[in-house]
Amino acid sequence: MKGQIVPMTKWQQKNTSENQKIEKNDSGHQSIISKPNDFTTDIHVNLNQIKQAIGHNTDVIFRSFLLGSTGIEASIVYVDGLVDKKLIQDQILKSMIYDLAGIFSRETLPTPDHLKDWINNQVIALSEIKEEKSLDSTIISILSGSTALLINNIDIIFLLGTVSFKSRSIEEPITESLVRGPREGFNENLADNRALLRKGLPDPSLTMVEYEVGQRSKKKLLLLYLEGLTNPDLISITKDRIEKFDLDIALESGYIEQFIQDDHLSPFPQVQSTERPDRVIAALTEGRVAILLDGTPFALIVPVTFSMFLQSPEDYYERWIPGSLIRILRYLAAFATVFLPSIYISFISFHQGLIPTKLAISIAATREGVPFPSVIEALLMETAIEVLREAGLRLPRPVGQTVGLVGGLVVGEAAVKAGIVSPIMVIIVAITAISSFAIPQYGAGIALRMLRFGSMLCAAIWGLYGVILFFILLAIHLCKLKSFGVPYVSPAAPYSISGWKDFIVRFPLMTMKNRPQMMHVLDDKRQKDDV
Amino acid sequence: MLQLRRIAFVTCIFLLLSGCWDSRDIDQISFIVGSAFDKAPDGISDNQKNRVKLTIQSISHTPSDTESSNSKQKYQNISGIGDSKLEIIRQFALKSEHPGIGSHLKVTIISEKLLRDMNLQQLLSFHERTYEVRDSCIMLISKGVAANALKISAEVPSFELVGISANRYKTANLIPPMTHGKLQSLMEANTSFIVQTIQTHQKEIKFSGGALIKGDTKKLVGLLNEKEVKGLNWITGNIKGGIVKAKDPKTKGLLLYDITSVKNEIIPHIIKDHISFNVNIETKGRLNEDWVLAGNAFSNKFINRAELAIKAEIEKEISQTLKKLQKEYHIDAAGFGEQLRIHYPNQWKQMEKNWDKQFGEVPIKYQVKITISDYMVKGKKETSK
Repeated sequence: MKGQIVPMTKWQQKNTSENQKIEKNDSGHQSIISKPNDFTTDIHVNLNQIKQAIGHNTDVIFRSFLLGSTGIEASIVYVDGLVDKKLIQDQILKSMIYDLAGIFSRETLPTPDHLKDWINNQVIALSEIKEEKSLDSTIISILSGSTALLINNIDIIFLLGTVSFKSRSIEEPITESLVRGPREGFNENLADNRALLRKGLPDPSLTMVEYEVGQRSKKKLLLLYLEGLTNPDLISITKDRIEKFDLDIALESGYIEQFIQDDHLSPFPQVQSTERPDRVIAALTEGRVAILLDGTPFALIVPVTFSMFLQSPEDYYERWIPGSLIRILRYLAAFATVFLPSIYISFISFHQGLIPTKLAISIAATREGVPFPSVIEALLMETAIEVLREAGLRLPRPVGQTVGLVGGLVVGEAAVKAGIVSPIMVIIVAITAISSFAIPQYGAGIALRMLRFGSMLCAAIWGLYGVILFFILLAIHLCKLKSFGVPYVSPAAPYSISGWKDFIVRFPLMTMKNRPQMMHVLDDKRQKDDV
Repeated sequence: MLQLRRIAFVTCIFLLLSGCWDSRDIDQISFIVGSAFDKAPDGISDNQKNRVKLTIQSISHTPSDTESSNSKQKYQNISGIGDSKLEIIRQFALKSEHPGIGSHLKVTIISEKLLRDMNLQQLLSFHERTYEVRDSCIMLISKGVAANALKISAEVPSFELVGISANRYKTANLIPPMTHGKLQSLMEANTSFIVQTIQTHQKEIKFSGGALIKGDTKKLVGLLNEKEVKGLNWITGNIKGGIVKAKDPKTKGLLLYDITSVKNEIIPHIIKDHISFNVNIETKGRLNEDWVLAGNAFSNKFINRAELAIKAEIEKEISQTLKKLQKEYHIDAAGFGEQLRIHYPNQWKQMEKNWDKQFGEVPIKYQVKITISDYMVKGKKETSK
């Protein structure tokens, strides 16, 4: 178990499909039978054990009390701030101190077994209650918000589900806002996110497999897929990769992404991250696998293709003609992001004959007096705008916008006035920057912006020939790249006609009767044929 | 990992070794937009004969936002004398800071005098070989000194010349521009053709008439005036607009026919060894202006009369042109031979070489059908009958 997130034994890796519930209250019993007991019947010994482990922390609260009039010593341990105190007072302390007193008294002392049953069945009115024998597990549970209940003479510890962490409400996702489409996005709470998906897809075949990630962080990770639809090979590949890596902490799903991706040298993201439940649901029904991590609003979707990064859920929510046109626009924007500055450089430095005469003359006139060759000029401006973008991102929102505006306008204008750069270069850089923001996925946008510098260098050295070489190189790399067994540029590269229905143009929904071919799903009908 | 390092190494080598070869920023070159060939003044020694004077026009770089640029000339002309174009062009590297590139060459002007002595194909062989000169570059023949055409009062004279040559939708007196691409194919086929001529007079330009260039010698043999050019355009059907001026036979008033469309057809006939041509011309247009006070555009009688008068005028123009082509210059610049080649390829092969001579004797009939379809917004209701 050490150093690995193991797909833990049965009780941890719960297959919560069809008739099983997500909550883990019912399966707690069988799990501990085989384990040796760390606890004794003496409450003080037990308490000391826990105190030694975590007692030095000021946020760990120990509260001792007597069970009503029986005089049996009991104690609860919890972490302040992680638990719902009202719940503890109303459902645990109150019932233990008062209600038990009505049933038992100092004269009729219950046997430990009897008491256990009573606590389990009649006293504690909480949906999550678990008996635990292992000290380590107990401590982890306490640190993640459970309340431990210790009772004298009973050699096990009750772990009560009192986790109450203030989670953000469900808000519109900031990085993926749409004009039309649901306004809800994931938040940092796994239970909320899971519920959002259940609500959107109340299909019994929706399967969630739980893992624990991070030797220290012990984050819950949820693997979701549709049983009986998703390709079993894909599921096993994904499970395999999740089980394999070793991690100390997993703060964000980005950690997971970097461990499970295919090629860590590629500039292209091979896992899609999204804040939108509708996107995850759409991916699941296409036969993809989703991964949710506790503590982050970003869900992961695998496998991905290049075209997915240029698609927005809105393409499907809008009617197909505007949807398609906007999608084409995005492809153009992606192309401009990578190649516009390099094409400009090669035209200016190598192929002046390819520019329409009047334009060539006016460009030449504006470049008169610019001291740098066009490459340096372009690199200078592109870097400046990347810095501006980064600065605007880091600063508080209202200031950030001002910085962007001031930086863009003032610096650009001043640079042109000073004759360091030509105005046309400023236009090119601005168009490129705006195009890069038209790409719906932030990660893909970064990748393309990165590649832009490569293509600019090629253009500076070899002109248009270099740009073409760079494009070919890029195409070779993309064709070679695979994401979880699915070719990255499908449906273009392993050519499939039906795949083109949802590639550059989005065909009307009624023509897309089948699920994407590249996913090799078990049930490929999306719509009935005769409709 | 090792492989990656190797790839990175090779890439670096590539980058460093190649440098930025051929890279020259746009502001370090000058665009040649026009060129003019003239006969160089004869030198004393014998090997200085037949020399060419080349004038090129290039755009000078002036910062766009300075105020002075408005008053400053946007172009500069440089001349040089030599035996070949390339030789002269390379001389210019000694004369100006920025070497020129020819990809934006718009117009080549050749003086009439030079072309009467010199083979056009030889003169332009540099143009033909280089990939820099675009096929869309047009050629003009200047009646006087060609270099003067690059000095006319315009922002950039070369652009002005190209602009005028595109005005065929307003006048029928322009020959379709002879582009570099078309010129090459005509010269390779040894076909005779006609090129637009221009005339400069004190910084003013006029496109007038055409120069006939013989297919086999590729020299200029004669000139057509404006009217004859129009007649030629009727035969070839290369009319997109323009006017025909005629006189009303009854009232002697002026009629102006604005051509909207011309359809034409040249039909060759070979009966035994006898060659003849039929030219059918169909034209539609409108009566744009009339000085006939009694005329009424709504009256069919008047329209018929007008149509007849205009038809007669057109036929007159055609006959004049044909006379000049057939009798005076013995040159087929109207594409009769091409039609013969299409319809009678076998016979054409035999007469291809002597066609220009034979053309002088061939009878040509022409029929003009004219329709006035539009009288603009003026007319009176017909009251008679």
